[in-house]
Amino acid sequence: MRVHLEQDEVSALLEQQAFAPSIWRKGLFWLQMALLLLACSYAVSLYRLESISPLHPDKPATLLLWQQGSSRSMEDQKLSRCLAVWGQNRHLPAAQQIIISTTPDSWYLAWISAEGSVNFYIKGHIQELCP
Amino acid sequence: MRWLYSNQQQSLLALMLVTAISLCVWLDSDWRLEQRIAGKLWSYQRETLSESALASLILSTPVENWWERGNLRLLSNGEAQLDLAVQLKEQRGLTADLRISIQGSWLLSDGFLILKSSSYTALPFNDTGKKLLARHAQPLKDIWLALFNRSRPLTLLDEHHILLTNQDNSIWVLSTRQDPDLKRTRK
Repeated sequence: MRVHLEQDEVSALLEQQAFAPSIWRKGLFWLQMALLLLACSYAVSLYRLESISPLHPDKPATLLLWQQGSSRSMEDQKLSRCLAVWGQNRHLPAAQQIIISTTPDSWYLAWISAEGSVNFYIKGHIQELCP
Repeated sequence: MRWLYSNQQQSLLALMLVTAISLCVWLDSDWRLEQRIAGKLWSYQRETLSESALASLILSTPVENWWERGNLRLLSNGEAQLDLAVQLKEQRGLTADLRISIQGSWLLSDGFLILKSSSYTALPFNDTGKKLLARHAQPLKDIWLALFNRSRPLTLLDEHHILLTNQDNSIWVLSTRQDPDLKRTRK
């Protein structure tokens, strides 16, 4: 089959070939695009990280376990209730967040409320207070 | 959208990339964290619900209960002041009431809050406190300066609460409110 191209079509093809982007230009473009996506994802993750547990006075207290520089949310309703009763008995204001950190022979508890924060150091194990 | 790989398209992409990287650096920077904690009064209360071994050892008397209420003022110029009301209950039932003040400087580096003291004062607020200071002024000063002069990882829980931690897993949460003194001086 014979393909016949018009003069202007040939010119257009030649022009396209002459001004085609080089491999390195394409590579650089897609590298920039990939880096942009990575940077945006990282920025979003950084932003979300700081607003991961905003404290709300109307919501029930969240329980966090602090271990080795990072926090882990604890879904232990029994422990939450026990600590809430313990706080009531000590006349503490309603907690927005309770942070616990444990050591082999003692534990630390930070009681965060709308009125401020109270930090406790308690000898023994947490199970002794909330069996 | 058609990819032309043109100079304009590439320049625009480079500009967006630089902006995104700058945003990441800014979000993760000490400078941003510093702006959020500086010029505020951070308050806390701390209580030891069992015998304080360190205090008992240093003060040579069994300290049954340690209670303190403190205000840490972190000024924008890098100066720091910690004012404390302390009550130490001895096993005999006597409670020493003290007011302690530590001035110094603060610095934020790599996410660590570094406090450094320059002066310390302690005043008794009752007879037991007076006797405790007369007997153990220096050991008490040593305890407080050892607690103050530390670098601790700082975590911003939200705009009103910061968490300071230590290698021994101890945690210290401070809460802020608008400092009326700072507010007045800024007017």
